[in-house]
Amino acid sequence: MAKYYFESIKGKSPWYNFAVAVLALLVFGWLIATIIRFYAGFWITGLNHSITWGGSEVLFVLFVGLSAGSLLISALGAIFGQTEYKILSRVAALNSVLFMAAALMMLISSWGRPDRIFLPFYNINPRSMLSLNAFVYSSYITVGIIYLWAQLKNSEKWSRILAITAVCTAIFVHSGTGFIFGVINGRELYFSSLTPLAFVIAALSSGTALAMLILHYSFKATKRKIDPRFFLQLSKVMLGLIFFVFFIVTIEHLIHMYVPEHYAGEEYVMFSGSFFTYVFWIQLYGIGFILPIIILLYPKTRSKLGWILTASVLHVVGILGERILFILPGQFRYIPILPGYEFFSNAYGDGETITYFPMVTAWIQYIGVIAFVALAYLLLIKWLPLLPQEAKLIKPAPAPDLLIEEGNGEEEGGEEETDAGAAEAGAPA
Amino acid sequence: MSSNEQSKDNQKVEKSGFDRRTFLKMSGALVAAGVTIPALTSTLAPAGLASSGSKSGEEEGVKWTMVADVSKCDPECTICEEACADENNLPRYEGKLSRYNPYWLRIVEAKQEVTGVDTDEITLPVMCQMCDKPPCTHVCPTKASFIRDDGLVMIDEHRCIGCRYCVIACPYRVRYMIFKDTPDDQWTNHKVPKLMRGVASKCTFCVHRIDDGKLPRCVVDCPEGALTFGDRNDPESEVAELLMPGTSTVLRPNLELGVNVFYLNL
Repeated sequence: MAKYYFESIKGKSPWYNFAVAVLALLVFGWLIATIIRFYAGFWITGLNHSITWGGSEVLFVLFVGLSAGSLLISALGAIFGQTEYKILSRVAALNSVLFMAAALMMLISSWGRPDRIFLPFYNINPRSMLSLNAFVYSSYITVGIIYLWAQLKNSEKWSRILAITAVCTAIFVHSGTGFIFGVINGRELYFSSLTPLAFVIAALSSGTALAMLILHYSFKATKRKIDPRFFLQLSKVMLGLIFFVFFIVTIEHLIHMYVPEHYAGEEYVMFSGSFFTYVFWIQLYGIGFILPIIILLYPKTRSKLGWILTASVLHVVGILGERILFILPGQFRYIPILPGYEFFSNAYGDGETITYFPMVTAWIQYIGVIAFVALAYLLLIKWLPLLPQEAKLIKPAPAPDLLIEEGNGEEEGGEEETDAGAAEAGAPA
Repeated sequence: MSSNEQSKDNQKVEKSGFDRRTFLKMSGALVAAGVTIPALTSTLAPAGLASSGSKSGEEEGVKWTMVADVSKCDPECTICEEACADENNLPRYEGKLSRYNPYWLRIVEAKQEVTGVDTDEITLPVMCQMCDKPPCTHVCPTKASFIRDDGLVMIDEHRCIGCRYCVIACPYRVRYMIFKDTPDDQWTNHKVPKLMRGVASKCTFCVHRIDDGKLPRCVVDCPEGALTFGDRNDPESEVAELLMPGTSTVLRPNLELGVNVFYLNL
């Protein structure tokens, strides 16, 4: 049995205070931008009649996905007695709560009437997945908080029960989020029964990648020790999951391409040379799938910590591309309301491909929500004992030749550290 | 429709035929048997439209139907679009903001794709198709989008949270977000509520006019008589006669949403 001692960080260095101050400012910016958006109306975010779900929804699904992975890994570990993942479990529970909160912040601040936030709770439409998700999301946050609390109280029994509950809720949350988009049968690029599954698996893989980044940089910044073999094990889990997402996304597109009715839509995404073509081939397939798979398979890179972290960053960036493809192309492509007819453009944008780029207010909102996650993380690891003092693997090493060569790998990891890890990494204790 | 309005409706209809005592008894019975009210509403609501439809309405309910004859639609004419905007206080912004103008009824120009043939351009008005199985209403998380007893798909703008799910789910793209509050000087018809920013909106078949026994504004204003409106459950109605030959078509029939807007000569 591995035993870990958790301890809060000191958080007294000027860098820490500086990071907290900057992040608090950005979160305040989010609040102001949301109020402006509410009073001015949608037009201030760059949305238009055709593109009504924009960047906010992309980030919403990305955050919902990121909240999952680490929680599922650690909770599954708890359920099946894989104690080595316990090191992850407190941070994972915290992540799930924070990212879910961020996702809801993003979603609700993107509504036209965020002042009516409680309406979905008493006007339930059982046919609407979004309506049911109001309950699923709120129970997910509640379960996450209780799960965290049970772990802080060191209650083995309750941690285990809540781990099971959290996993069940997480499955509902992620397939439910995929459901929202999969059921839209009027738009061929949305309609797919694979969406919920693809969403769950992509959530697992990107969540695992993010968990590795957060753990590594949290330990590095606080000068605590973590056994590199831990990352080696997680990277194998991640590799399997990346293969799985790769497989699902590919067959989904192939099946759509086979249908003449849907081919035009797939062609628009994959071969038309539009923005989404680049997102699809470079961001999703290149950065998100191929590069991480090569890194995690090639013998010279697969056992080096720096490369594993690089692969994690690449995969998270790639999954951001998947989320973009999830939300936007279905709206960019006009709906053929009269199949077999060619449409001429009009004031409303029939027959043409519409352009959309988020305006400043929207960007302030996006950055503010990301800052919220980082800020809450920094403050909570200071106030609560969430990070282990030292993370050691008690189990024997898998094989001698897989031992990590420390040092040279880490520098490369440091350079690659971008959006996802940066906020947490930039704050030494 | 609230129960107040229903009882008002009852009043109007019943007073003509009964004396006060019978009417009071009748309303007492109505209050007691609240279950029957929905059934009654569906028969009373169309009573305003002076047509012989009320009898068949009692049996099957009304089926409000719009029939658009595409061959009569003039490509240069935008009168229905303007009439719709005027009737429903749809804001018309100038310049850059004009891309946020909502079009509850929009005129679409299309051309059939026939290889080797240079087909003629056609224009057709596209408004809410008032589906029997509306995807927008199925996905609405707050039931702000609902089906009225007479089958019209409506939006309660005070319940809409502005999540835009319905706008995405609508297969005809006839739902419009309201991007800004309507300026007061553009709120001309006070029978239609002023459009609120941040909520979804769409064509209502001019429900306020239907309830007053009038035809939708686009139907009235069309100079070519391309639009026809009525209850197709009434076999003598104009729409039923137009649909009788069985040559009408609907938009995206493969979705099987049970739409109530039909196109002739498409």
